Amino acid sequence: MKGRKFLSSVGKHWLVLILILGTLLLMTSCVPGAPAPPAEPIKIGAILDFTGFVSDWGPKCKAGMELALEEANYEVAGRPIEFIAEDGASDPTTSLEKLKKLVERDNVHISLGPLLGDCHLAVADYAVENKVLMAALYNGMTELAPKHNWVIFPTTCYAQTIPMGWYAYDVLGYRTMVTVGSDFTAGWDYVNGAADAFKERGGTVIQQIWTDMATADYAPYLATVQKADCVMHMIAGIMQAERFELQYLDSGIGMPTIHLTQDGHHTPPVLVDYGDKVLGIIGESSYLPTLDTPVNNAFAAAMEAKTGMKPGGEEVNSYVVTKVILAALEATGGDDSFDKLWPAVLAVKMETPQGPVSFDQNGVALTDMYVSQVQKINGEYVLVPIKIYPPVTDPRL
Amino acid sequence: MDFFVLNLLNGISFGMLLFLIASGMSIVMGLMGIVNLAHGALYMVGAYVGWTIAVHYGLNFGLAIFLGGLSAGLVGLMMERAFLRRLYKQPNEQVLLTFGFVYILTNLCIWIWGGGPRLAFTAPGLSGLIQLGGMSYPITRIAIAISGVVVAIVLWWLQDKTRFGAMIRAGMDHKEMTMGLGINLERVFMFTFFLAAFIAGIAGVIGAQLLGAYSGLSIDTLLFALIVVIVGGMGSVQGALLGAILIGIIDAFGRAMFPEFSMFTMYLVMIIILMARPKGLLGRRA
Amino acid sequence: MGIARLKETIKQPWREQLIRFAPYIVGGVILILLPAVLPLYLRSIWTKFVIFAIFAMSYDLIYGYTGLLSLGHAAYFGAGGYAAAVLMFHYGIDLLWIGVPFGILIAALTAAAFGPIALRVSGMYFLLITFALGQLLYSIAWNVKWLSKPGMQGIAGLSRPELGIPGFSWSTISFYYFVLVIFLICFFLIYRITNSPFGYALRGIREAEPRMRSLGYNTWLHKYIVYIISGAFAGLAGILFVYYNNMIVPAHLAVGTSFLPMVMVIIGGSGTLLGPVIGSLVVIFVEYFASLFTPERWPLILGAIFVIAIMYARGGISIHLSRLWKRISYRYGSIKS
Repeated sequence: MKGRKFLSSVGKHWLVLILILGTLLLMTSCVPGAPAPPAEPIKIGAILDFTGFVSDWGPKCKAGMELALEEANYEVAGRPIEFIAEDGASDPTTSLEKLKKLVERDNVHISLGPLLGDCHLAVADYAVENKVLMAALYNGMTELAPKHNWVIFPTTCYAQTIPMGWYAYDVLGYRTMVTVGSDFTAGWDYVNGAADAFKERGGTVIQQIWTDMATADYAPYLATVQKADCVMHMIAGIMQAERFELQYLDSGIGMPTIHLTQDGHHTPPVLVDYGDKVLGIIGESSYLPTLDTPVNNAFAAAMEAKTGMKPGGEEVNSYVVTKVILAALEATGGDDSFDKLWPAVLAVKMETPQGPVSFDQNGVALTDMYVSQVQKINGEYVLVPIKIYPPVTDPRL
Repeated sequence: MDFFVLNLLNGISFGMLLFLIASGMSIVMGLMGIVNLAHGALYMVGAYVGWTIAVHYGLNFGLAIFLGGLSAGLVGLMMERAFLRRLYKQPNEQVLLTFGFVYILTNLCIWIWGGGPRLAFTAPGLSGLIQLGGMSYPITRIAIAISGVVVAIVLWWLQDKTRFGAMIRAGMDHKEMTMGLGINLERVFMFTFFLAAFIAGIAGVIGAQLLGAYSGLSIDTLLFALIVVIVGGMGSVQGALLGAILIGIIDAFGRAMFPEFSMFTMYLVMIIILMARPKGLLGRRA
Repeated sequence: MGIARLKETIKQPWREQLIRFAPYIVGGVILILLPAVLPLYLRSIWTKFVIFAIFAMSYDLIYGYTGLLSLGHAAYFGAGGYAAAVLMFHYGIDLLWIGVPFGILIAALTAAAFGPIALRVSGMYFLLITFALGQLLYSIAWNVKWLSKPGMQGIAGLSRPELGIPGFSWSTISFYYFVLVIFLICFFLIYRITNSPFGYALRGIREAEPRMRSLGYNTWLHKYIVYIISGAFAGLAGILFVYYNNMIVPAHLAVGTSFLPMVMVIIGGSGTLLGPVIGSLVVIFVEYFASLFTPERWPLILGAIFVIAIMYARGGISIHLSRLWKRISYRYGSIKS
């Protein structure tokens, strides 16, 4: 076998040794200096997913946060802000590791994210012990609320979809439904929030299908769907909802669908790709880029200028939560310690691109819910609101 | 009856996709003894390139398939020539090397195309449903199945009916002897690896009609490929085909009948088959 | 180097002894003293490195010494972890003295059950079968609700284990020293195993199994026994990891976790005692710092390092270190002539 000698034998040994020493040196360079004096920056940490299961969200959430910070000029109450975003890798143990780093090395008391439910539960105890203000940026589990250190935006998974169940019964006139949901806790909560509300009005849920999170081919599940007035679905994961929807359309089942968390899936880039296939589909959304309010119009324009794309749920939720935190910091005069900050957060009320927001005693946000529909306006496919429901609190709290 | 037929069709079409994914990997394993963990990443590269050609530039779908295969093939070739070749006698290190490439390729794709996934796409003429005896069935799935059959036939012809195929089979059965006969096995390796990567690439575009393109494909398809190779045996087209169809059907019926245990069903069947035939149903490598 | 030779060595001049044992002394000093001066967050990562050093050493037993390349070793790592976690979560048993032995037992039993399936084949097939078995356990952990805390896949929110000493509570430093003690015990045990006749038989099996068989060794039994022992150590590492994170997730059983000890052993040097330890140090810290340095692009760095390490640090880092050390010791040690 031919091969030129890259390094002599001794040279290689030294190279390896240097690599190791270099790594160790890197380690020591990360040792922090003396603790910061009071007029020093407020540090806001974020644990986002840049790699892993939902690697799509990381950059989007970061963009939303950065926009909010830019609008505040990276300072609040006279103190500059340092923003530190780490990769949680969609993994509970990595998220915990990064939170520890943020708290122990960077002296952070505020963490935006992690994003996924499992990661929330993994860091919850540590966050309580170390008095870190946490924010769940894309709904959170009801279990987090009683801990009283989580900002849950736009609301809990269960409460998010309750009005949709009412709408299905009251407005659409459905009496029976089949639900299809991803088989994990958030999936159950999203689906059952609406399903229970539907039943409460008098409807019947005749079948509930739970799909494996890693499904590539939904056809086998679709083959078992029974006849009902509608199919309500919430499929989580990168592209899974879209995949399900396309395969549903191909299956010829034909029953009307209700698309929970529609705004998360029928995002502007997706609607460009999809075209007519999803025209007319109704679903539940917490945010729509087409909301015609001055606040939203300004936000959408700024976001599009920053990233080149129209904003979706990831950007707006991150933006709003960051703005809420900034408002609370303003109210405490720049004091980011948990005991001062938490009540300030609970007291925040503001107009956001999403609508008005305020908070209940548990830190769960009170936000409007939108029933949305895909329509074609001026040759463009957009998601528009067709009804607004006022905030709903989670009945399980 | 409808239920049975529908799931059978689903199983076969999905199985053909699995075959497309796994066939290249199986041949490389059988011939070169390399478990190419980056095989799924090559599929992913093909899928992304196919998307760029077919959706972003709106060009011919066939061209997308070809270019997807070509790009994956070139990446694979680079891997083999620049790195794997130097590790011929060290299969263990090859495994680690290919795994390193999974990290690199996945992150590169995220870098180039962004983290946002690409939806399933197809040629304009292939979208929609077709009537099959009272049932409507998506054309794309039939297209996938037919593509799988075509590739299977071409590969089988290559394997059993050409001199090149004979060289591959000889190399699988007895490397030293084959080289002793004056056959430039290194060239055969190189071309085989390229071919396997090429197939992974075209599979990426063909499969994109069902799966789309996203960064998680590198691991997702790798898992599928490994399962197929384990069940069907490595080194032969027939093995990959049998394994793929079997897994496709089991998955289809398993999901339909036991939706909460779908992945588990597949792994369990895999273990059972392994206990009866540790080298897979039609395993070839000695 | 067995006990007898050890005794012989001690009789030699102190200078030579110092040089011979210097790596271990230096390593020991680093392991004992460094964490005390490291900042808090690095202390945790250092603890993680020691835990994975145990995991990597267990893998080295089957791969480095016996030549079995497995892609499913996390099955035993996770089995041990899940056993301890389930004890704590469902039965409220958080006593360390019960949790650890129970977890090791479960891990060993799992290895004993999977061993006969996996060991029917070798080489690439062994790789695939171990992968399949690991994924099987992963899918069970994912789907069986009893193995998960409601609200997630896996079990989070566990507390640190009880020592049974009233009034004692864990700190990062005390937990580290606990882990260190276990590591040292494992290191010593593995040292004894690999330097015993059994250990030499394993090396023989790795090099030329048919010849060993013709010499009358029951190679299958040897492989089976080392597989179980290795599984037990892996399970122990898994239990420690659960205590470290206060959680277990199904991913700890899956192929992503199985890769880690393999990578560590190959980079660090297989078939040696220090290799897995060094490999663990390198992999854990490079991954950590790379992801801090560039949260979005760190897999590129990690992948590149794997590729470079494989291409240019053949035999692993420990080989280079030991050769360097030999040169230094020959230069400065007195050579009997």
